[in-house]
Amino acid sequence: MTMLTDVRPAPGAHVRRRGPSAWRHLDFVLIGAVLLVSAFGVVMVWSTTRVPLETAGRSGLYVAKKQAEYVVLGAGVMLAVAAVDYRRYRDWAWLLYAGTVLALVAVFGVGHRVSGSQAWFKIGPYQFEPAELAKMALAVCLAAYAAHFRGRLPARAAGVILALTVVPFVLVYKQPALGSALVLLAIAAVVIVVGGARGRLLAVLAAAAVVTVVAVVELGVLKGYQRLRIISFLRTPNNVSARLLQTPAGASIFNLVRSKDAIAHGGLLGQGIGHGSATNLSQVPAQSTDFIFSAVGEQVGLVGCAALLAVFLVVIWRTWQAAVLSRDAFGRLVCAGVLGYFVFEIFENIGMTMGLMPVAGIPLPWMSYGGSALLIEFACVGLVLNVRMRRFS
Amino acid sequence: MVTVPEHTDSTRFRLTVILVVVGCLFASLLVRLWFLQVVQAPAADKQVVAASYVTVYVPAPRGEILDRYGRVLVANRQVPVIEDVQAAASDTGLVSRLAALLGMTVEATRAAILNNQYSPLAPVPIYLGASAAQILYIQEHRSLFPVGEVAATTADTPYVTPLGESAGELLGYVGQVTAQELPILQKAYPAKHYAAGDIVGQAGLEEEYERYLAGIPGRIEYEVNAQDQVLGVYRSIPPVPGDNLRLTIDARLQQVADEAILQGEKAARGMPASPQAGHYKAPAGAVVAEDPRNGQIVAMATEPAYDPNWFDQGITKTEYRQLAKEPGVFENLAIQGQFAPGSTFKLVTATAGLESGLVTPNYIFNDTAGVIRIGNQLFHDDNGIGAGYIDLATALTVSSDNYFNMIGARLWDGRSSFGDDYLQKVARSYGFAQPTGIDLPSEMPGWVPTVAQLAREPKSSGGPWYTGYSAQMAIGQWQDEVTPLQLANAYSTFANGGTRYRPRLALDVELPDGRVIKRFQPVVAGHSVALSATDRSAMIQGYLGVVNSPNGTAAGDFLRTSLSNAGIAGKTGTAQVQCRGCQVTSVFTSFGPASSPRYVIDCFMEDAGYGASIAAPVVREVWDQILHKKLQPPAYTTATGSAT
Repeated sequence: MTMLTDVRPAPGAHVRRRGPSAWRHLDFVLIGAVLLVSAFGVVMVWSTTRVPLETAGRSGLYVAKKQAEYVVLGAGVMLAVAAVDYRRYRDWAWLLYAGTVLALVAVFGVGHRVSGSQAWFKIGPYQFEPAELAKMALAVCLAAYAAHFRGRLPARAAGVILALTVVPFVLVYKQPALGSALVLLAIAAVVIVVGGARGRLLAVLAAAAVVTVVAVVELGVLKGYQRLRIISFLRTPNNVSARLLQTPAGASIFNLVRSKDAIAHGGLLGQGIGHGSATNLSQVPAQSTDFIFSAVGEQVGLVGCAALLAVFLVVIWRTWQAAVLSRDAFGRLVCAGVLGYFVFEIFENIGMTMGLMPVAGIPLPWMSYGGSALLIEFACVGLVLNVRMRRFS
Repeated sequence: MVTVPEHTDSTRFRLTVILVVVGCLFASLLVRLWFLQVVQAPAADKQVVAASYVTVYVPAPRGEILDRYGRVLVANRQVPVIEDVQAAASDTGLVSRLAALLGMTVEATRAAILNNQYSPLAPVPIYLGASAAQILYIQEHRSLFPVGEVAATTADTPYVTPLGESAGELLGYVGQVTAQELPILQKAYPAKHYAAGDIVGQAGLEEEYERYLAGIPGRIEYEVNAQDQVLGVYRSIPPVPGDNLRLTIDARLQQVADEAILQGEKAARGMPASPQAGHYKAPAGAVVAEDPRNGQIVAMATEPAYDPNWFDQGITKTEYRQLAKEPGVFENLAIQGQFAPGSTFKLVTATAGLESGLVTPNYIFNDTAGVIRIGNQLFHDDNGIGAGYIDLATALTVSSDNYFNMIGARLWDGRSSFGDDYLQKVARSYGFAQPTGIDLPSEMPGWVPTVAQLAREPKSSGGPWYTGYSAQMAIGQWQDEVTPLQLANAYSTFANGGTRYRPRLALDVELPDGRVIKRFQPVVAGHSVALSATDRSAMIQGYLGVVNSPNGTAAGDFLRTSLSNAGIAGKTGTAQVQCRGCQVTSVFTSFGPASSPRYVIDCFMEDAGYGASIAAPVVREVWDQILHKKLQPPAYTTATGSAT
């Protein structure tokens, strides 16, 4: 056999060791959609930060430039994540999980405190938020575990998945960062559903989830401001003044009312990019980060918002498609977890800026200002690209 | 190698369900967007605009008050003031440094800074009237008093010029608007945008003419962000200063009148009242000078008086109580003091006697005894000896009580034909027993009792009406009470031939550049009971005699002076006051020149003796000023200059 098949090349000759490159199957629609949203995000970050910057005598482009750098960096991370065969991640999943949990613990010790949450590592001029990493790590890890069951997830396995989720969930919740913690639950939920838990089990879990939510709200497990955020979402006053800001509860009510006003101020066609007075007068607190959608609403109106939602839908559709096309259960479940992550963040974030959902500290993917979240979001897109482009290999 | 079919139909189905759920979620976002951006968009416009601006009001300087010749009585002065922003209240170090510098307690300083009557954006004045040393200290120690937090600046504050000080009670004072006043003012003058912390007129003419004197505050509309941080000025509307008020007052006459009262008090306090009672106390007095041709008040001086400048920089409750201890200091005696008019009331009785036909100018009354029996009571003339056979003019000149007791008694006895309240009716026609309607707040109405009123009173106050009451009333005693202004206005009515004007102090309202925007015209309030020319001239003869005839009651004050035979007519009054420790009120009223009177001047001096001894010399001083201008024009600043 060896003589016939001895095709060993001469030493030093260039060898193509694999079949046709997976890069041929790169999903440019997904990449295009994500880059489109990111570019628009940079413009929106510029619109929400330029006036305060200029008032302070600095360049109005300063923050937008930083965001643009993150986008470029994120695109690089996305391609880097896509370059390594996703099945290798399956082997590293436990390492990734352990590292993330370790980071989440470490952040309590050596972390940097910003606006009440001990959630950041400070690395030189940069800050990194391990809670963001946890979202990706959990998606990979749960997928790796659930993939063993090949579409028939027993109750025991669902229990393990929940247990794996609870550890980072509690750590993130304690930072406190309730929003990010909830994202972890959303990822777990989608993995359990797509992983193949039986209908009866899903019904039980859903019922348990409802009971837990009601109990948590009613029994005072939440911090006062978290509870008030939920209550203020249910009963929002019509008029607020800046004095409300002086109370934590008031701040979120204030934020919500101002955000809704700004979005409504956009009307059908918007005030034009760079022209909304609610945005230019910084009427919405945290507008460059969690409340960036209020800037979108004011400046581009219903038509622009609908277009943005459509682009987000393209991202979700392509992620969904990657799950469907995946050649193995792991790839499918990774994409499903990422899908849960994206959908939850997009819906919760946009929903909260409009008073449709309670206020929680969740960024709008690819748009809110901030490096950690952006890099992880891009990395997750990289995972999706990875699964899709290797569907034949 | 065979691929294990991991891709089950069930998984495919579940993924499809997830996609449908995603579709629903996005649909709900779209519906919500439509609701906000189409349905609620119009309302949001207003909200966004409202949230974008904060309006800070800039107080307008008040109008000045001028005398009839344009001399400034109340001006605006720049008072040094130390201001602090409310945000600095939490800086304990700064607050204690300020407290130490200003000599206040730390709590008082913090309370002053956190005055919620001011906008959180506006600097709060915490110390008015800062000394040059305090301001210098702040400017030299900017590390202790940061520029953005503490400011030394000036504020427009009304103050009464030296010329106006003799008219303190009249001018009144300003102060920070009270919680009771604010809603009333806001409702009455919405254009003035009254707000808590505003300085408003609270007494005298400052209160009466608030509507003109108060300016319209300027506005600065700041663009703000969500934290109320100022991003810029959207627009700025300068304040409109208040209008100037020109008075009918002649400031020099006012000063002379005020000084004359003080001299009169001094003289009275040097006079023995009676062997037992010691000297006269003379605690208070008032002079009113009115132009009988139109009701303009040219002087209205009262003592004791406050200096409105005391209120200039705010007055503490303790200081106020201290001031209030001096009786009458917050009363404008000219309109709020109610005195028995004494013999000056014989104007009413003489008119009633002539009008009723009970007496004629030539009727001769036998007053040789100096005593008259009315009912079972004896009424004595004041001097105890009779005046002889007297006609009406002489009765006025010598102030025969019995002559007028007689008229009062006969009017009551003949009440079947004259009516119960004939005397009261004549008194009312001269403006007694009712407010004159002068343009000052809180005027008292005086009191001339009627039969019906007395019948309503309990027995203890004197029982049913009888002849004696009428006899006493006729000479301005018993329950008669008049204000100095009422008496001046009554004699003005007589002096001008029977037209009773509403007395007034405001001549016109002017813009700061002097353009008149409102001129106050004379207002006729009524007419006195008509007198025939002969009757009137007989009375004038009587009044002229008081001053110019050797047997006139005030002849001693005028006869050997340059004011004798200057056409001044007058009437003395010496009113008994029925109360413990009270002494007689010294009253004098006058008008002149008698041929065509231009001034009516009266004076009331409380607990001060005979009309001739104190009130008449006070009035004489005022006449002296009118006729001889003995007083040089005092130093004053013009309306255009700022008096500092």
